[in-house]
Amino acid sequence: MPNENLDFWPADLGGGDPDAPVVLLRTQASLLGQKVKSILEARVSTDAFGGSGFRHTFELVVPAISYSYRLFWIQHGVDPYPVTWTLESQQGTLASKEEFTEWLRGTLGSDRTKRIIQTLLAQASG
Amino acid sequence: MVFPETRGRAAFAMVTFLFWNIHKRPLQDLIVALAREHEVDVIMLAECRLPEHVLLEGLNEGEAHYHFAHGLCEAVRVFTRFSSEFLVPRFESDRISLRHLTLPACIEVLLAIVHLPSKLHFSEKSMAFECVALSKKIREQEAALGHSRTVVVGDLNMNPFEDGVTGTEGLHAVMSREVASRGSRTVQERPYPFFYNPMWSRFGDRPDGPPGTYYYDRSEHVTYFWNIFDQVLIRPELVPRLDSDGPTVLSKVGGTSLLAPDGRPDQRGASDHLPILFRLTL
Repeated sequence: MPNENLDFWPADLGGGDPDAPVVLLRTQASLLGQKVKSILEARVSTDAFGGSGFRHTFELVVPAISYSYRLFWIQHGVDPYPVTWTLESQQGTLASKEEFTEWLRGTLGSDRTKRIIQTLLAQASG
Repeated sequence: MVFPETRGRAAFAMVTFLFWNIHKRPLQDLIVALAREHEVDVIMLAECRLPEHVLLEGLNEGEAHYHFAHGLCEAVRVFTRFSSEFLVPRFESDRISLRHLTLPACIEVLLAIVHLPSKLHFSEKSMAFECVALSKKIREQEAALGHSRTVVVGDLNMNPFEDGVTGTEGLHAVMSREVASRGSRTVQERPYPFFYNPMWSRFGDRPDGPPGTYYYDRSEHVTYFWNIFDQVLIRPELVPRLDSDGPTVLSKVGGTSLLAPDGRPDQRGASDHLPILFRLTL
């Protein structure tokens, strides 16, 4: 039995921050598969980045043809916000979950994303 | 393609590659002339706003050879003198296209065609991080394909000596064949594969070529004037297959100079970048 007095860790570590950017990304990634019958998948990969932060890359994957397309990536430090995004050689910073959510909504719902998804679906079914 | 030798069942083809950042200019006539003069097999263009059909009409005038090799990367356009089914995209982003070249009876090659962001938009640190991401993707694809015969070609918007190109976590490209031939090196217990970067020897005044591929005169204390942003990096395994002339920085097409009278890239008549040409025996 560990001596409770020698356990310095917080009792309420919980299961991770539900507001973390990566959680929102993974949620959106899982939703795409349902919409396109898993012909196309969205994947989020995470790297330790620059020694003091994390980079989450959002990719669209066509398993049938072993093809993937990087839609964007985001970076943040130990704190989940602010988030820096990189998309089409543009970069920007989002200070809060609300700002990030709006940016993500706009990016995934954009004409560009729709066009890329349609092209990939055509490739997969061709 | 030229087939210089045959050993048993395998034919080794000399494949000619051309990369050119054409600066959004309508240079179809020069591109066609370059393709004919050097019998180019793979044409890779950055900052190309020309509709594909315009280039194909020129390239295929008289005899149909060239195909547009589709991809989702809008930063580079690729045309091949063979069916585009032999150059299949594996991974792409808005700036990177990793394609698997699988010509019949030739060894397979992973071709990474890139046009990395401009320093006008990205800091030097961000540029280095781009190279880290590119390097990771290349290694992922090499693992998936089961070989590391990879060529990186394009406008890196960095010189060969910058951190993103030379660093272990970046492209890890070195100036010496001998060093690259070690294959990889281990730093802090992690192995990092080399690229050989032959572009180092294209710097400065030389009898057979311009001092770089891109000229930029900035009013600040340190400026290089001539830069080599347009590069070819080759994994050690492919180095013996690189044509002995190595990559050539082209400064003329037929009788037309790509340089202005002051010796710099002719931005009005051609592009602010010079094209690079190289051949591999595959």
